Amino acid sequence: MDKIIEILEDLVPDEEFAGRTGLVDDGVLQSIVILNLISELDDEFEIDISVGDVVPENFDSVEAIWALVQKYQG
Amino acid sequence: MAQNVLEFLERSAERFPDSIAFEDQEETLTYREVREMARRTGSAIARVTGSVNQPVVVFMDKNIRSLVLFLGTLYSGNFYCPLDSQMPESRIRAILQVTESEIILTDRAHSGAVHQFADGAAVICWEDIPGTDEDPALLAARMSLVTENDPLYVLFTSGSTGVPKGVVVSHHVITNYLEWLDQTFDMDEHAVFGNQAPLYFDISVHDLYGAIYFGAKMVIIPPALFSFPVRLVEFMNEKKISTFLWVPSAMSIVAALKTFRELRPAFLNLVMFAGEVLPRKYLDYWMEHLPDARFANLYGPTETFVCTAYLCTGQEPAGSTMPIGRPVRNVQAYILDENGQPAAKGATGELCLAGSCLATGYYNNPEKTEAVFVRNPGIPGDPERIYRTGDLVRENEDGDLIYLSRRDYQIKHMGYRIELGEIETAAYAIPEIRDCVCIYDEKRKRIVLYYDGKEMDKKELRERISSKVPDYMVPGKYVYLPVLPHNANGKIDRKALAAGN
Repeated sequence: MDKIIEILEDLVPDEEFAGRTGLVDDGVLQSIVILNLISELDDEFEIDISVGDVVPENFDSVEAIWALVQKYQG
Repeated sequence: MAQNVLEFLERSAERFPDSIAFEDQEETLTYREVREMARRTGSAIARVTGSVNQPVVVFMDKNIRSLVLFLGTLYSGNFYCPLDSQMPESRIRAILQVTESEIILTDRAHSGAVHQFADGAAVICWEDIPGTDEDPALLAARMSLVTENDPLYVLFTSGSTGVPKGVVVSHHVITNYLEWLDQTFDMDEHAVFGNQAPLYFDISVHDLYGAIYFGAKMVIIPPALFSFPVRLVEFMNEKKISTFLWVPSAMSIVAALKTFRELRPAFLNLVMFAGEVLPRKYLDYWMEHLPDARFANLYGPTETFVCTAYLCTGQEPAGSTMPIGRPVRNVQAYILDENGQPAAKGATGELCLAGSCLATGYYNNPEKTEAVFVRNPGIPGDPERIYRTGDLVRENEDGDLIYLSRRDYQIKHMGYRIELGEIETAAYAIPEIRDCVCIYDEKRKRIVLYYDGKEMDKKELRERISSKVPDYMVPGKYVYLPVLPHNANGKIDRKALAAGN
């Protein structure tokens, strides 16, 4: 999960992500951020996130993103 | 030709009173409701001020009520200046200082904030409108004073000195554009316009008046959906969106994540882009998956609205830049060289425009207006004004205009004249690069390429660019960023990158 926080903080430098929820409603995840986040997650965790999983529920919090990554790793 | 865009609203309200005109996440409004609320708004404004052809600020969230308030200002014989509640306060104050608007339209949710910077202006809230009686005689009297050459809106763009410039556009510019739209594409009242652009960005003018002209529907797409492409397409299908005009960045994620493997837009038949260079690899993806839809690349600075258009054929050579096409009706395009003379056929020059696309100028700023709206140096004695776009173009063999770069991005390096846009086009062809921008570092005399996507080995990147451009154009420095900065309109923020150089 720390790795996800690190990736997010790298992509959106002005935001705090530890324990963060409500990422979608707060407008933090602009399309360009989502796009880069997915390619970083794919590379870092050697997964291939399908566009069908690129939905708000899977990106609304750091925990949700972590759960998504684990689903692909499992 | 119509004198006032409200003629289109009156026409559609008469023909399709019960059809939905506007829709957002909260509500829908029929043409009858839009007309009625706009006329009540106009009456409320006209009772406060006797002025016509003055700017009325509309300060709202992005929603369809704002659209009604825009139209209401027109019924009062005035024009509107859209401000978004999400804009930084310093920018709002700077714009209010330039407009000196007597009246600010808003809603209850924002009236507190508005009163803080109203500075004596009257504040009218959306919630007060239903209790306001319409005064047809008063509206008719005010509107009779407005001609096709009078302002329809003023939109603010960033000025180089940091003070925003208000571009004033008249009714006839939009009327001319709508008639071109009607002649070029067979749209009717069944069209559904899917709005992406902010309401203070002139791309949304196409959505608003396009819908009104045809008696069609404008749906505001929730901005958050542009981050979640499958949801975006689901929404488009649910709302039966048949046409849109977006900035290219809005469609890139859809292509980059190969969304159409999951779901395709079922109702789209006319797809248009404007506002920045169209990344070819993403456009190709859309065209391949929507073979029955038509695609168009539109071009136009705020100062000329949409002034040229290219209808994509699908036959364009792979990897080439999509042209910006030819002038729309009643618009003339000139390519002028450094001496202000017509450039030789096929040669690069500055695109200058004349005709029915031209803004009146910058609000309350005659110096800036005179600097860019000038007499045509290519045709001595011609009384007509032209607008110097600052964009470099050339004409291809088919007579279509090709956008090369901003004139400001043309640099002199090692004695060569270089268009940074050409290097960017070469870099865009590299699959690992998603977005990129070249900036010239004057101090160190080197070209810097900023890019996002996948970080690449510098040597390999250099070799791949070297294979496409001459040696003197190969960047001296490569900077990978996880995300290139974008400005509020969704374009890559060159200024922010240059500042950090």
